[in-house]
Amino acid sequence: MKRYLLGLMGAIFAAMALIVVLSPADAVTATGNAKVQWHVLPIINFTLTPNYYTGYGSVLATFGTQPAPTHGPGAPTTVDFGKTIAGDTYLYKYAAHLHITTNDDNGFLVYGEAAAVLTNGSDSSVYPGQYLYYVPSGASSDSNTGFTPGLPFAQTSGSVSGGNTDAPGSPPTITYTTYPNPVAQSVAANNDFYYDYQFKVPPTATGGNYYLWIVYTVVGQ
Amino acid sequence: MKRFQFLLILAGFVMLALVLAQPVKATIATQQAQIGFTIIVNVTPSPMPSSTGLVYVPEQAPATEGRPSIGSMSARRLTSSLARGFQAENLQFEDDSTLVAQAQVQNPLLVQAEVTPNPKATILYTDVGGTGGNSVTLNQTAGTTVQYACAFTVTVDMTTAWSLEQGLSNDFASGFPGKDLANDTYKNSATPLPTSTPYVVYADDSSEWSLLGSGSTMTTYCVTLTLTVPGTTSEGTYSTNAIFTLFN
Repeated sequence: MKRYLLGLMGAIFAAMALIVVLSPADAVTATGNAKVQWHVLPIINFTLTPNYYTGYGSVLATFGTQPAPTHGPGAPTTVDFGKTIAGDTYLYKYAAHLHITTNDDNGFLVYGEAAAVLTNGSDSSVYPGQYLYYVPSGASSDSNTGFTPGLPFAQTSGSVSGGNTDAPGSPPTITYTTYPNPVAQSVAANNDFYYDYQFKVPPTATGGNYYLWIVYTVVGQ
Repeated sequence: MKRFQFLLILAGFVMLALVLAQPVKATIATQQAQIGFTIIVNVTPSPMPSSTGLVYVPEQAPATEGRPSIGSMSARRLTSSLARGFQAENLQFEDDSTLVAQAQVQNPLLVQAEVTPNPKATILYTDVGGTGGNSVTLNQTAGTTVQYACAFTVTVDMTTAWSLEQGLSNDFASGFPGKDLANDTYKNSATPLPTSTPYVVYADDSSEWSLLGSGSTMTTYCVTLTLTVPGTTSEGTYSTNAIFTLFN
């Protein structure tokens, strides 16, 4: 009899355990909070227009009355200073217009760097250093001269691909791991920037056709 | 007789013109060459209290609950300005949603020029462009005065009588005048002068340069700069142009 009772109790416990194990999982409901964080990258539209206003072109640095601007055959597609003399400084009026619109309420930063060193395409000589400068201008006028204080375009320390010729159809791109100091910034979502360029021709420059790629990068703040 | 008088008067005018022209000719100097390069000043903010009364005070880290904490912060103690997380319930992500991630946009611009060697590059030159770049860069803290020994040299290579003038084209900025940059310019073979002289600024000083020196032999000048950055100057990069003009 005792053996029968013990067997019956064992069967009951086994059946209960089997019921617990075979119960549907959705019978146990767990609730909790999920914390999700994200950073929304802004959408940026950036239009770069060289030679943006009538009267664009190169002027020899001169005190007093300014000569009429001229330009080389590459304009208006490129900023072409035309004929220059080593050691002289030239101002290129209305060189670049940057038109930027974003959906970033904090505005944006503008970086501008040379993708490579100044190069003489005629004899492949290169001139490390800062020879191209930028000077803020206006939409349709400015009082800049070749002696107006400007700031140099630095040669990038980023990774450059392309742009090793003076063909407009082969532009370079720069991949940054660390951004340099910006050339401009805006706290507004949309803004325009206008620049003249200054070319301080190396005194030791050999004769030939020179080129330099400038790359502007716009990043939301 | 009248013809003779006319010729006599005409000859007199010619002689007078020749006499008057002599001293004028002697004082006219012809510009032979001009060089310029950029002086860039990178200003870092002064650690001292400025005259504007703006003083940087390090922000204290929030205290923890009765015990010190090193490098840790409870999420519950984040202030609203630091906590930028979002909380939501019953999040649903639709299958057809589109995510646009655009970190940066680039545009390149090609700059070109046709360069001809300068036929007068050998009579007036500087060592600034010879070492790469065409600028002298000075890094300095606002509110300080620093001397830069022989920051650059300028050489005149002429064996006829010459004179050399110098100056700055512009001020660095409003509130940062070009005269804050002084020069001690001396012949390379000589010793520095005991004092420095503020540069003449062409834009401020009646469109005039100052005489650096004259001679008739090849001469190299060493230029020691002394820059005083006003304490009120904001952090940033400033520039002006140093101009040297050679006459004979």
